[in-house]
Amino acid sequence: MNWTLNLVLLTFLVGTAFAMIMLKDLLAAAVVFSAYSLIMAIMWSQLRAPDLALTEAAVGAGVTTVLFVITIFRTVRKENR
Amino acid sequence: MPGRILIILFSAVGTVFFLGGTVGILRFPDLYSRLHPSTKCDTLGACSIIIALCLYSGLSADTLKLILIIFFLLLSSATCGHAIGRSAFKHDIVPWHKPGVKPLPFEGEEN
Amino acid sequence: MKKLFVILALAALGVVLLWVVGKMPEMGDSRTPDKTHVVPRYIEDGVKEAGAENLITDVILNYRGYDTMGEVAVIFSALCAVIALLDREKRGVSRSAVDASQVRSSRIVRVTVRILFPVIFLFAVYLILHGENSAGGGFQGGAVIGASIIVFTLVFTLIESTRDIPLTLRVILESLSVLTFLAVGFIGVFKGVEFLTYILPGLSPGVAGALRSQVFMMSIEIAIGVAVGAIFTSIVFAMIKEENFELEPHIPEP
Repeated sequence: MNWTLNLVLLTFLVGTAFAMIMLKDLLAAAVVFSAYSLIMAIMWSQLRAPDLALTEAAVGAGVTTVLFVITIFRTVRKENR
Repeated sequence: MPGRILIILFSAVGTVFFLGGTVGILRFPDLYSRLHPSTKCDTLGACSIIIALCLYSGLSADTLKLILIIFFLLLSSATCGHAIGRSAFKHDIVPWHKPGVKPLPFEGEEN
Repeated sequence: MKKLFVILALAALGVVLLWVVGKMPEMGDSRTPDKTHVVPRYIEDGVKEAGAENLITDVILNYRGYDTMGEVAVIFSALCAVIALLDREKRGVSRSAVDASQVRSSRIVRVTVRILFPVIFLFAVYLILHGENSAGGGFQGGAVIGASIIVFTLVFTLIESTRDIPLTLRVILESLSVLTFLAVGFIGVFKGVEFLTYILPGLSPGVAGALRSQVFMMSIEIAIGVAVGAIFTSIVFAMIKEENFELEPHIPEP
């Protein structure tokens, strides 16, 4: 397995996870979560689990993001502190 | 080997477009101008790299799949750019203009 | 002070976790117990015992059949929770924000979705039906079906979607997966083998690729796919519906 590709993907994964926690704008956090799921799907297919990659891409990047965006659209966009 | 040169050429073009697109997204001032580099990434950058992959894999079933990927990529990414730009326009997000320069008239048109 | 304590605690936890990861056997090490006992059993007897060529499907539906049944029940109860909170949409009355606002979706987007929707749906059906022999399966296909219908609903209107996929049909389809699981399980029980056995004595021979050995598995896959698609659709419909559509849709401030 290509360790440079894995290193880059894992770096991006940690970066998106941190960004997701730090962002105060929830819509931006939902978009970053979609990117996180996409990287995770690539990781699964790298680890030779195409079934999981399909699930992650369809549910994580597709359906969950739509549900988050609808929820944000219905409630508030900013996280208040 | 002409084939290998073509492969290198197409991947290099794709990488250059991706680099330029990323720099553009980071540097441009507002949403409308950022849409321009981001869609360039998807269409020209990704499509050049996939064409390079087509040439690399030769005449096989993979090439057909890659050509289908190009088709769907062009269709969906261009539509996405259009939808984002239109929705921003409908929500009255005013385009950026250089300070001190008189902006072009901006008004929402019907449909 | 409190922050410092939290950071120290997290750092200590991270060190412990990294230390444990360092002790773990390397990925793909052939001497670990799962490679010496479990994997050979799956590879050698999976097709005979479970009946599908794709070993992942064998594991998901047969060796770990209870897990899958639990997952399906979890998704179904998630739908129940959403409906208990938000109520279902009313046909012809409930509209989405797109219907309520004056702005229609652009013609370019509508044409693109009209081209893409059948292709996505076809891919979903392929995933469901071909799950026994290649990557994919009921859950993945169902998720793709749900995503395609969500795209259709977001671009076209909720009114059109609820007309094409009526509520009465979805109520039946949503409960299909759990029902099919129980039915197939109890068929095995009545034939005198364990719950959730797909290779029944005297009924299907258990040869890879033969349709008769796959008929139960196939029915479960189709039921899971259809039900997951219907459940995702129903959740999204319940979430985007709006009854008082005279109101302008709430536009988040930029």
